[in-house]
Amino acid sequence: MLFLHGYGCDQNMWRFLVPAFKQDYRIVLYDLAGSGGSDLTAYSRRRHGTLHGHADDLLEICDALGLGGAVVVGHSVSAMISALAAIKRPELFSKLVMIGPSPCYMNDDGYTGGFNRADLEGLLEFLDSNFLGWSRQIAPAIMGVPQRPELAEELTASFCRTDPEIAQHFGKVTFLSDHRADIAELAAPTLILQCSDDIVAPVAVGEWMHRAIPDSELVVMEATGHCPHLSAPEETIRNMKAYLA
Amino acid sequence: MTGDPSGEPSSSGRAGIDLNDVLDEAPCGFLVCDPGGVILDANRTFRMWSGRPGRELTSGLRFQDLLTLPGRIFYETHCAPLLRMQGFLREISCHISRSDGPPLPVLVNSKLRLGADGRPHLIYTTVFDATERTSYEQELRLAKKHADHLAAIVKWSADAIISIGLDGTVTTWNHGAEQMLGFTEAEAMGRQIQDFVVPHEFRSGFSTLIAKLRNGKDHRHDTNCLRRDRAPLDVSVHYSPLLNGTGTVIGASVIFRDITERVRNEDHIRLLMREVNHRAKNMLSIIQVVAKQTAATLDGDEFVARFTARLHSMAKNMDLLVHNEWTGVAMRELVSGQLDILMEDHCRQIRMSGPDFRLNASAAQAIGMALHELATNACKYGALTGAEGSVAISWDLQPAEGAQRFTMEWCETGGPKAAPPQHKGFGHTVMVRMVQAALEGEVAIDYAPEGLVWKVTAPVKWVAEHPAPRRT
Repeated sequence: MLFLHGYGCDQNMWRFLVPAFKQDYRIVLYDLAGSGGSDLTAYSRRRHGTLHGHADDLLEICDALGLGGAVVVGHSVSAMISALAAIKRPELFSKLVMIGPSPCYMNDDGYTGGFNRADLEGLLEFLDSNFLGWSRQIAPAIMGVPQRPELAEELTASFCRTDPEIAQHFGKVTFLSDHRADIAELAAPTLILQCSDDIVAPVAVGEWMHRAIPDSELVVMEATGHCPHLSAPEETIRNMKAYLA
Repeated sequence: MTGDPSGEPSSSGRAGIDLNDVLDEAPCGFLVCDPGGVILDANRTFRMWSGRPGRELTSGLRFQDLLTLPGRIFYETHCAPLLRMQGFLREISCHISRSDGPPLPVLVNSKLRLGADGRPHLIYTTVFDATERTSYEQELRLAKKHADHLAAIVKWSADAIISIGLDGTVTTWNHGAEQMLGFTEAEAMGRQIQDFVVPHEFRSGFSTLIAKLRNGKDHRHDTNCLRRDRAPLDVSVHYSPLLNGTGTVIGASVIFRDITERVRNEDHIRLLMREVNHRAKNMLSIIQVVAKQTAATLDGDEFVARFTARLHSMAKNMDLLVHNEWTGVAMRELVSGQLDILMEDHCRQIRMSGPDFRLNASAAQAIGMALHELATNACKYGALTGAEGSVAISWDLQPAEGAQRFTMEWCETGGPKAAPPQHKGFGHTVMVRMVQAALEGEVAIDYAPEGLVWKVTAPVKWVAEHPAPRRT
């Protein structure tokens, strides 16, 4: 079982889920290129200029580990990354679990992505103008750990430790991506876990995904926000186990 | 606060201070939210800041709903996960949207309180007004953008722009310097410029230059510098002192501009000036010869008419030199053009043979000048001084190893006994060195007793106009 974290985080976000599956599965965790503890020099603006680059990374990892018929759990943008990988090499994956997926963040004729053009332009401007005080501001919080004895030592120094320029680039790639046309080709059985109030991926998007993916199941969870695996791990685990059983 | 979520009665601190009032009127916003962000309570300061003084805030709104859209996405993708895993957030900068005004820039600190069961129970959040800090950051960003812009100009300039300390140590080295001088930034940084870029002969003057810079004066001169491959390069260098904030000279910016082209042009002009002077003198000798020869057979009006016609023809040929921007010239046209004046009197004495093809401009100029020189010499001292001598001009394009070769010969016979000149003047330069340089070829002059022989061999690619000709 492979876990792929979403934009802005790293593999540590799976810490509440992994224990529930490690009895039954071989667990593979990694940080996306450019995120967390990954080798930042491996991040290429050309290769990772589209989500296909990240999908190719996933395929290379599967090949290197000799995986076949794996379950992929992808959060947010990684739901789309794993879908692209599964379309390219269907034999590698048996089932997909998508948490808060969105094939396209921008509203379009007959499609509700959750954001209009002005919203996304505002976001990109925010990324452009504010990345100094945006991703870097996470750093002092991490640095502050040693002075805060009340925090467990294991609290990861790598979580959200993103290079601001990469965060900015990955943000653009993520929020401007549109893979609606690809999704219908996804043949793998797919579970879509949709939070009931998620501003990044609204319920309408989860419903669109469910209609577009032929062999899919949609669960609208009670959990709110964009990271149910952190805010409501029990509910997330329960739904995944029910689907994978 | 409008209520205490723990349901305990309001408390008093030491000295009878009402802590509820402290919280309510504190100079920062204070919020209590459930683990999903739903606001359970907010102090008066925050309610006023958000423009929602009543109960609106606690009617199911989430803290993240109050943020502007980019901040909301940031909160959901970065902050909420971080808070859950790390237990706190510090100095998150975002904007609170207000019902009654533009968004308020704030800094947010949050702490996650766990319940007795170890699960997330409440989120305590303080919010600080960051209006001043944000506008200051905005200025910094603009200044940075401006500085980045200037840095990009320097970085990608075609000129080598570097900076040095007062001992000559390189402190910055731009892309232009890498290209022009051949040393990478890594190779150049930390080395002293006088050790690897400044040529030996100028090294002793370097300390004088530094002294001048220390006095706040700049310095500009044309010189040459050393490339990584040790090849000297003609450059114009401008040293300007670099000052720190208090006006002390701490080093210098050094700008090298490649002036190879300019130096080459200047050399070319100098050479042409000499040639014009030389040719003017030659012309006068030729005119003298032509006048003598014409006067030997004609006189009176007939002499004037013939002599004038010959002067016209000579004038026309002068154009060949000056019109240096030829696009190319046919070989036969060039040879006959240069020999026209002589042909009339010596038509039986001059023979030419060879395939016709087009020469490139610089080859045409060099060969034309050499032919003019050879013809002048032949009239003054060689085979064309009398009626018995003859000149054979021949050229050919021959296949050779790898590339075609051009060969050309000027061969005098039957004139007075030839002998090497007493000294090699400008004429020799024109016949040998200029041709060698222009054609990348070999030139040999043999002053054999039976007559002078001038031979050229050169790669066709330096002689012919492109594309290379086929034999005709």
